[in-house]
Amino acid sequence: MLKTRALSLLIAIITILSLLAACAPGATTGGRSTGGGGTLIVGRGGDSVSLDAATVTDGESWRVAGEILDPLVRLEGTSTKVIPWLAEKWESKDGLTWTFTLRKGVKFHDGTELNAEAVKWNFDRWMDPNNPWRFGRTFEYYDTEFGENLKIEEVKVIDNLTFSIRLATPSAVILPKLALTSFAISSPKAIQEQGDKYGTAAGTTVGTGPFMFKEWIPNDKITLVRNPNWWGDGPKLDALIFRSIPDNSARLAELLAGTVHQADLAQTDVPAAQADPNIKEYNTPSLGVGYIAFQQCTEPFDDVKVRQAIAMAINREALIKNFYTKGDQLAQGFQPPAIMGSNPNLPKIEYNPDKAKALLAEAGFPDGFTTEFWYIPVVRGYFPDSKAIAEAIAVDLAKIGVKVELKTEDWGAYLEDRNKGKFPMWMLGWGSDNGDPDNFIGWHFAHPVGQPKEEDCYANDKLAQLLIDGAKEPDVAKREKIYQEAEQIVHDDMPRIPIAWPTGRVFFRTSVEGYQPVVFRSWYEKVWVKESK
Amino acid sequence: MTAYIIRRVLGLFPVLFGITLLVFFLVRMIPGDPAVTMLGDRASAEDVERVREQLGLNEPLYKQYFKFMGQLLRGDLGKSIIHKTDVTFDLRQRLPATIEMVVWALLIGVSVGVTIGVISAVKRNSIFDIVGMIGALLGVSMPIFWLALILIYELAVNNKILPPSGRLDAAIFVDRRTGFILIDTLLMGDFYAFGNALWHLILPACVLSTVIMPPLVRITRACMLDVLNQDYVRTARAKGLLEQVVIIKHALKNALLPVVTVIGGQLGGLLGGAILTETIFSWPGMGTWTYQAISYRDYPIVQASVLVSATIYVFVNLGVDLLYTVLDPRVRYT
Repeated sequence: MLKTRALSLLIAIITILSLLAACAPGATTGGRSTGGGGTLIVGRGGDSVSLDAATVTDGESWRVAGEILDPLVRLEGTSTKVIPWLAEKWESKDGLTWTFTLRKGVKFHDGTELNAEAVKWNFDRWMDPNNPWRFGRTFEYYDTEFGENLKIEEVKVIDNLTFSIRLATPSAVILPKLALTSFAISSPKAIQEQGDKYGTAAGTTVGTGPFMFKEWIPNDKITLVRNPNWWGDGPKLDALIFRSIPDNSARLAELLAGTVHQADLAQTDVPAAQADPNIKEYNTPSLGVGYIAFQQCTEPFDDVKVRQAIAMAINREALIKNFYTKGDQLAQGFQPPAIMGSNPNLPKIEYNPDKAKALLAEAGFPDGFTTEFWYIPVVRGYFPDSKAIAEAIAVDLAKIGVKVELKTEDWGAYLEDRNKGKFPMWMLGWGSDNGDPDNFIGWHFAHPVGQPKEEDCYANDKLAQLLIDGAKEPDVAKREKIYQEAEQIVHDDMPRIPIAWPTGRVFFRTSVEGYQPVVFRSWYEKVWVKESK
Repeated sequence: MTAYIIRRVLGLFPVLFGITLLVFFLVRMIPGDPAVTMLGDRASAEDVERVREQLGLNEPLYKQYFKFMGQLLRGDLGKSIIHKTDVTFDLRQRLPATIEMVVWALLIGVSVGVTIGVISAVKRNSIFDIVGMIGALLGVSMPIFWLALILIYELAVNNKILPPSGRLDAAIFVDRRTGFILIDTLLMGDFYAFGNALWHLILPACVLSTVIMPPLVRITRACMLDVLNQDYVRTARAKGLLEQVVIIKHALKNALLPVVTVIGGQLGGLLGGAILTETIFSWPGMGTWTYQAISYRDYPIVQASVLVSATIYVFVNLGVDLLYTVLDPRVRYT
């Protein structure tokens, strides 16, 4: 009895003392007051899938992997201009063979040298489906970006710091594609040593980037620490932690409480953050579009007049006003202005239900028709409240006699059924991967000349040829004209009704200094935390 | 008794076999393709087909099932389709997180719930009893995520008394040998981290205890009222025993059988994962693990999670049955 009581007392004392210790101000995340230090904690809605950047397609993986791994080139940030990164210079006389020279003296976090052999090793891993270091993983972005239209024939080592990439067809698009985090360079030694654990929570990830991998607790946090030997200017932070906070309200609470310094917020939480004096909002130019798409394999949407009628019947301005937040724009075309080749002279899609009804009658539907309209089951910047937006669209279309049955399903099933062509009319969106029009209008509408697109049977041979030419054209001014012409065709054919160009929003605590808004994701090498606030 | 325990444990195997069949085929009936969710909305049909081949999803279902069972018998729960990590690796992180939160929630729920139930019964129809019953009703009716968010905003955002979410301050590093943060911090001798982990446990454990507490209050009260009217209790009072001794030693012990049954049922269910609480408090436990796996059609994780939950449930039920013999010596198993 005495022993039990003594043990209980001891446990109680330890617990109380520990709680008191925990309540005292302690593990600070603040830094020095003059330009450096601190631990930045980022709150995001989900965990990364893998840090083996070449094998993933999700933004949460790229944003972390992009701090550990460096690509050969990078986008400047405030624009989509390509600048030197691991490669300090490059040249190509014919657009077919590109010769790159790497920076001297760069080392991977494991101490091995970054050289042309290491780069070639990475390319070989991506290019060859039978490469022994793939561990059965798929490399979607390599297959998509360097597929048929931009195939890499060979990567050749010229000397220790110089290598060449020979393409199957001449192209300038290789440069913005190489800026993608998917093509950032991993340490060959680390992959060989770790095998299929590389890039997972059971292993590590090794690159040349400003931050080094320390720890990954699945669905909890990923901790990166400062690379003191980084070749670039910085980083200023001591550590960078990405926390997974799945619930939107809980994530906002963490940002308001100051327990995270940056948080990805749901649209509905933006006003609360904007109202807090300790939180600062940064806006980045839109690189996305929300749209409504049509299945053109069968009636009624195989007729361009029907598609144009639907476009004229929807009050798109009202949608932006009622369902989007300040900074989001009404889409005037498919590509937002920040993407090269966006056409500023496209005629406006007017809102005119009477004209829409007349156009429908011309198309042979004077009394309208009934169809299904599928809306996305998830929250996205391009459709922040998809159900409400779909309902508003349904009301607009009912005025011209088009009765839509609103439907949705689980996200995984939605994407699969969209691919199978199950939806007559549906909403979706796109966010640019690299700022290049080939990844935007090209990705959506390219198809072999003479064959319609499989997904929705849309076919326009002139457009198809333009997009093929645009991908190859090394001259920037000529490329721009090609894509502007492509935009005009897409506007006239209306395979998609563009609704919104959502702005990028980033929210930081005011204790965070040095952040510059960039087009894609936050870059942390210049960021530091002033104090624990 | 030993033979009984062995029989019950052996009985687990046909149960698990049935569950493997059920979960294997049921999860594959959900519309949606793991290859498509893995590749995202930009996947081409060729990419999807290639991934399906790699994952063996094009093989006949019975072959996939035999492969799964073969791995299971070797102790291999497979690899996550999405994350590519061993399922056992994930399980070693997730299960301790859930156990830690649930055990503390149970301790709070049982100690508070049973105490209120006993006092309500003893002081029947008093103010305490009325408030206790209203409280229990509110507890059962209140949505847990609403309560959690209210508490987070009041206690963490507006008044920085407790942390909003997570198991530990993000900047604290712990060598996760067991996955139980309280144990791991003690093993490290880091009392600051231990206290920090306890501090983080308070809110989620208290919120989760509101799931367990109200039914315990009501059933304890009901059972105590029944027992307090029994002749032996009247006899104990007549013998001049202290009221405290009558209630705790004589009445409560006999009232506990149904209470223990309820606790067992709650415990078994919660150890499968308290998904709402885990989501709000960013607690990386079994509930959110299973939910995400279902969303992504990550079949190996769904299968493993259901199997583990079923195993836990069976052992918890066995534990409850064995506890009966302690509480009621008349109960004997052969």
